[in-house]
Amino acid sequence: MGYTGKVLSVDLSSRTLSHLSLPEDWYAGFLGGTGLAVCQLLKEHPADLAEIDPIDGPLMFFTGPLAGTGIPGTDRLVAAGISPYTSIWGESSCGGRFASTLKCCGFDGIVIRGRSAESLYLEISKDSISLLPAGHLVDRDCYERVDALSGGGKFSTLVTGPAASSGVLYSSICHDKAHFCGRTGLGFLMASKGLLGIAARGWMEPVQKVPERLAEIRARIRAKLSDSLLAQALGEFGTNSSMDIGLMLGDVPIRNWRMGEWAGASNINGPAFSESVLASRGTCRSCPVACKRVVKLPGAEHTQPGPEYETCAAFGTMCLVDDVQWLCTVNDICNRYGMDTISTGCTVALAIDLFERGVITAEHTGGLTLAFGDKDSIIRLVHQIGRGEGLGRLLGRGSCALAEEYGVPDEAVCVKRLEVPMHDPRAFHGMGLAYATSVRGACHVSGVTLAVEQGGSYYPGLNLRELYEGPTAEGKPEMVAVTQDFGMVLGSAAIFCELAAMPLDEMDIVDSLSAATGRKMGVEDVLSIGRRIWLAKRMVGYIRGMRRQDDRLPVPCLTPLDDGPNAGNVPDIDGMLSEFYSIRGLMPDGRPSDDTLASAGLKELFARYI
Amino acid sequence: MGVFSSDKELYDIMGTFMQGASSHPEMGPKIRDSRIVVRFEYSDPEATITVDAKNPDEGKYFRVLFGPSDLKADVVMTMSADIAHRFWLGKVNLTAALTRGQMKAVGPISQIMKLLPAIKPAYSIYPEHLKALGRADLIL
Repeated sequence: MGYTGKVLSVDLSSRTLSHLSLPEDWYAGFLGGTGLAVCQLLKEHPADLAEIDPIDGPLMFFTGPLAGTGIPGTDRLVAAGISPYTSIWGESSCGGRFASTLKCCGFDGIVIRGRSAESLYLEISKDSISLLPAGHLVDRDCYERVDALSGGGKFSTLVTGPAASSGVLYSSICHDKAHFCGRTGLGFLMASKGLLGIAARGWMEPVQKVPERLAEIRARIRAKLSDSLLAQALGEFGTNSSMDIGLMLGDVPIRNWRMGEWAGASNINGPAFSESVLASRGTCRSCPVACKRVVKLPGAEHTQPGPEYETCAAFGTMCLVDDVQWLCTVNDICNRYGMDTISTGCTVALAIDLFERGVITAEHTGGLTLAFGDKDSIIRLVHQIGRGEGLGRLLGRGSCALAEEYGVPDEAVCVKRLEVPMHDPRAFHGMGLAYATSVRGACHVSGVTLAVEQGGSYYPGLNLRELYEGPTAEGKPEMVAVTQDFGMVLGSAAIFCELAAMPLDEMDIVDSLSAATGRKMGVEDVLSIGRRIWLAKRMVGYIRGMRRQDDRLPVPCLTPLDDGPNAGNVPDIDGMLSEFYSIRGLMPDGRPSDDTLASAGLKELFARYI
Repeated sequence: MGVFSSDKELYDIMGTFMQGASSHPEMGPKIRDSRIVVRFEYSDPEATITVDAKNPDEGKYFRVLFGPSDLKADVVMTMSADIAHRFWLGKVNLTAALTRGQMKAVGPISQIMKLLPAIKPAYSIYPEHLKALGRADLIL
């Protein structure tokens, strides 16, 4: 019925392995993915959640009930824990094949505790489940670690990279060289525990109670994807297919958020990659969209994973580099070190901006001259970050640390210390509110706000308007709350890929979940689960010290642009926030009220705090 | 009543806009570079405009044909004339319009996407064109 009912428990300190059985009401009330992870976190740290060092908290991997069903876009895994980067709730998801592989190993998730002084990796196969020495991985990059653990592709792998050992707090977790849990530094958490990799090889069939119904839904969803122009564009040009439309809408940040237009951007759009470096299209298991790019640079012996839209914007438009091949190269460097390309690119763009404005000088950079568009200096800086050398050591702690170090904290474009992703809230004010109130810091995928506000998705059953104007506050607080609730299920608990799900409607999601879990669900049930998960993560943030003043947008995102489609336009974040607090049932200091927690069914989970 | 009272008025306004774009230094090369034939089929009033970037007129970046044509189109865009007018004024969210079916695009997605870079310059050119025709009243 969508679950194996077992979770693998790993204690690195004692090097012991065991099985957990999660309570049935967790599955019913929190569905899967980060819903289960937040319950597990609270169970393990009922008393000391406020003060524990993130490294002493668990690192958790969870699947959703749809993994292994063959429904497109559902072979997704979430990593979660207390973020060593932001110090609040941390989560990041990726596609690929690990989730269905884990189900085929008989597990819904893995919970990892403690830490080991010796570097280890975890191997899961029919023959044994073992913690093994990983000394041979230490001096290797992410791709080499994958090669070392994959057994020629037989094993599905998760690895950290050398950046984590260099102290890069936004280190990612790399899955099979092509997929990344990039955000919130969970690669750093994993490496800090002494765990450098996980290799899993499934041996059993995932259990599904109603295969006929699932097969019908799977066929329906595949047909929708086949007909969808959005899905076709993703397949043809990857996630960077959104670059051109994003530029038209003012969605794409340029020159560290300070410009509204830049002619060079059209040189790094989706077609520019397809016409010059695309070798083939990659995909996650069972997904016909195939949005992944595999590129081959001139003169290169091998292909490599190509950059996503977020990377093209973070290093391209943000740093003013309009060179497709260079973007592939810098993407490859970040991937090999194991660094989130959004946080890396944004931190580099901020460093360049501060250098050009004289806030930092060649004395701080060790003689390196930084300039927008200067490809060589950016590459050198990225290597410094990955190796923890020179200014790179500071940049590896992110934009907030950089801005604070040089006395300009308001220059960091972060919410709750996480860099704002590549969608400008001056173009879409609802996204501004979604960033400000996101439970993991600035995030574009923890709700379906972006897809709804930009018009790519339409959910008639969610009682939202058919269309929203981007640069206004009208109707946005309610829309953001609903799209966060729905997104908590869709992207974090179910778990669907938010891109593959864009052409779908709410009933595709609800029907899939009903069929996979064997529990008849309606739209209200799903929204109720999403609200519960959002509030639980919100409470974790509150317990870890987040207050209303942290529900904010960074100053650069509230500074009007002089040019571009949204010149002169900034979100009324304070106005939207007041209405949002009322809709959400939050107290003036940002805490969900006791009534709100009780009505969401969270009284027991947060009994200590009520 | 819609923006255009007849197909003649549509051709006089939106058709001549397309013709002007065929020699515009910013928009023209972007459409020429697509190397495709795109047909715009409008309703209310019914009208058809074909943009041929494969066989440009002498001294132009592409040629523009009014009315039915035997020319094989790579991409066919279908929409109401009102949506088209609002679109060229930059008042229609393309993603939303395609998702909601207000605009339909038929043809290889690789060809359709090549048209996108040409659209943005039009947002400033079309209002100027309306003003030049003495139809600033149509600017929304």
